[in-house]
Amino acid sequence: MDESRRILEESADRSLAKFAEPALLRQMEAGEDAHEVWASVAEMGFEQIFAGASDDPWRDACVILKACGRHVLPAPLPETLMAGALIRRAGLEPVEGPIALGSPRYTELALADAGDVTGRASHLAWGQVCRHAVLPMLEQILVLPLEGRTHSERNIGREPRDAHVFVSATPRAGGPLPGDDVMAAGALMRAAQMAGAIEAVLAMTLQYARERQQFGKPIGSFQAIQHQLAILAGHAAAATRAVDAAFERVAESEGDGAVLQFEAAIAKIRTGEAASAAASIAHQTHGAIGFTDEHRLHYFTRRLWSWRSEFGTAAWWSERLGREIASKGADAFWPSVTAAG
Amino acid sequence: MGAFRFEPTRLPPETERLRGEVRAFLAEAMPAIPAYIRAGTWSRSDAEFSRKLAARGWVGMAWSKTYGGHERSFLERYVVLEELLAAGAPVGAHWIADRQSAPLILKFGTEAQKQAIVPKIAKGELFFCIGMSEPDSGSDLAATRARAERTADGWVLNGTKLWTSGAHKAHYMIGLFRTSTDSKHGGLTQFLIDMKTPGITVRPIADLTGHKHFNEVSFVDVHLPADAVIGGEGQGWAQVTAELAYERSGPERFLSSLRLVYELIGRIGPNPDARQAAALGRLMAHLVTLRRMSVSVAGMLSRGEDPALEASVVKDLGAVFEQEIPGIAAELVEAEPSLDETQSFERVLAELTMIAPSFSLRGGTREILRGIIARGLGLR
Repeated sequence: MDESRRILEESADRSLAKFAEPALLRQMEAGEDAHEVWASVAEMGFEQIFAGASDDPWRDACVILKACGRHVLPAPLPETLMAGALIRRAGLEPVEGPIALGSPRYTELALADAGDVTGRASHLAWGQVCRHAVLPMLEQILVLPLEGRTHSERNIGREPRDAHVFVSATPRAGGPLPGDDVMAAGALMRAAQMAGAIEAVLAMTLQYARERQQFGKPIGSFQAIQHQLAILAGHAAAATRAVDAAFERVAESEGDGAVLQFEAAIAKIRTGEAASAAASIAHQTHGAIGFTDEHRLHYFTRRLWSWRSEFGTAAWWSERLGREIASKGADAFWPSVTAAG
Repeated sequence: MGAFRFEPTRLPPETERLRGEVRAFLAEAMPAIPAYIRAGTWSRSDAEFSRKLAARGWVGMAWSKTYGGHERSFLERYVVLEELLAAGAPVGAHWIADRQSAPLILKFGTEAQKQAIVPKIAKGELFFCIGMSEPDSGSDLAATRARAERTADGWVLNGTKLWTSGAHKAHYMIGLFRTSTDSKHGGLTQFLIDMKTPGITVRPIADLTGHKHFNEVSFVDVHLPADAVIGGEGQGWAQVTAELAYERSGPERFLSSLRLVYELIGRIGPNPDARQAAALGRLMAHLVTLRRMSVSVAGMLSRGEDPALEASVVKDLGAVFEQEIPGIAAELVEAEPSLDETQSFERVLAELTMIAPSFSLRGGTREILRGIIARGLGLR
């Protein structure tokens, strides 16, 4: 990582660490309004990365998204960033304020009169805070104002995943972009958050293993625990490497949809698998205390369990990627690996 | 923060030309051998093939020209290695000498040793084996009992080395011997041993497939000259630790089952079912990520950093990956592993199913690697 990105990472960690507190997370999960948290996040300026605030938006976004995961930020900064990436990709004017990002899987829009659209989108993260949503419709994306009533649902991280009905809504903007790109941007976003949260879970678990004493010594001195933590650390390293590499390749080839699809698949598959292993090992190491509401571990693991499914499971992305591999045949396999760099 | 740093190292664009050269070379020079034999890649020896590679400058790539090397970068070397492995080239003859013996001699050896040995390795003329494990000392390497005692004009070796890959074809061994019993780790010394020295007996040991590539090597009053010591007397442990970082860092630690992936894709055909497709996609995601981590390790080597920890992480993840492939392949296709050489998929499946247990043993067991990783995490 170069120096400027290291500084950005330190700055993001400093700014976002205060949100990873159980007291705040508990309030947010209980339904407290997120506008205040968003106002505080907006002051940091990170959400403008794809709107001209960065010379290297994909690489910078990767740093911020991982930090959002590391501190399980209860605000739609990841969605606003990636919606911004898609807005830019479609050649549209930047949009200010928090933006929700709709999954093609949970968006059903149809043209009404005079360019207006009617339909429904659900699973919108922090839809009630967001002023706009970026949503896929056919082979384009629309920027729609989120006006009127938004019905609130939650994932198992108790993060808002809201539903909104559009009746003859007038898009603020629209441009051509395949729905696959929306899915890929969402997958990269959740993959980066997972990599960050896995890093946090590793750090938490290592600390616990050094401090918790049983049989007269720290449990981390037992080989059975050491080997589990070695496995966890391996998954953490792989998840971070997969995500860093994916954003880097996408940055280099901005505009290349095939690279976006491939890298989103690699990142979502690898981090999804790492998330499952990390949550499992972290809970086993923490024992009963880690299973309590009081302990902070579950704020991370419940989100990992949600994020691994959102914007395509590892299995969904694997199947798509696998069909492509099979259709190209055995001789193309190794060249595809090396071409990915 | 991650516990380990895998810097986003990239293979420089100019290495793609080199990759093309290697692929063209292999298309022509690679002996026509069936897939199940290609599956053995770096465990199979072909001295003539090694000399051809050396003639192309692809042995000793990163070493100084003073000693016959080519002063190419570690990343260029990486590209050549992975292409050889991906093609299943029979690179076993020179592999160990190129990977670790010559780098060890260049790092710790005397000027005379460097001049006498390293240029011949670079020409693909001298092959090496590694004498580390013993009957009672495997993962507990510091329990080495084979001993070296001073004589009037040198050393005399006695003892037994075990699981010594390629000893029956190697010209030299770099062996770890006990020169003092005062300290477990401090009493070890590495020796450069001409395998023709009287008193050395090499007994091949068949593995469970029937192949004979590893050996028991016994030493009975083997006399070595005083200058056979590599590095410092009593420095063997530190030197071996450095050597193992080379041994554990390469792409051979996750590409061992690649041939079976090719065969599997061929057998599945262009229209996989959902289960087959998902398995192939997952393998690709793991492989691409492992390779990127491995290139990061090569980058650390090229910057002169110590990648021992990161190499252990890649080797551990890599072994899990390459070891699970035979089981995955066996479940995806209605076929039985077979020794019938006319059935390519079945034969490769048989070969890799049987050799896969060795992937997490050779070069440091899974348990030893996880211990090293745990130490890196501050748990030991």
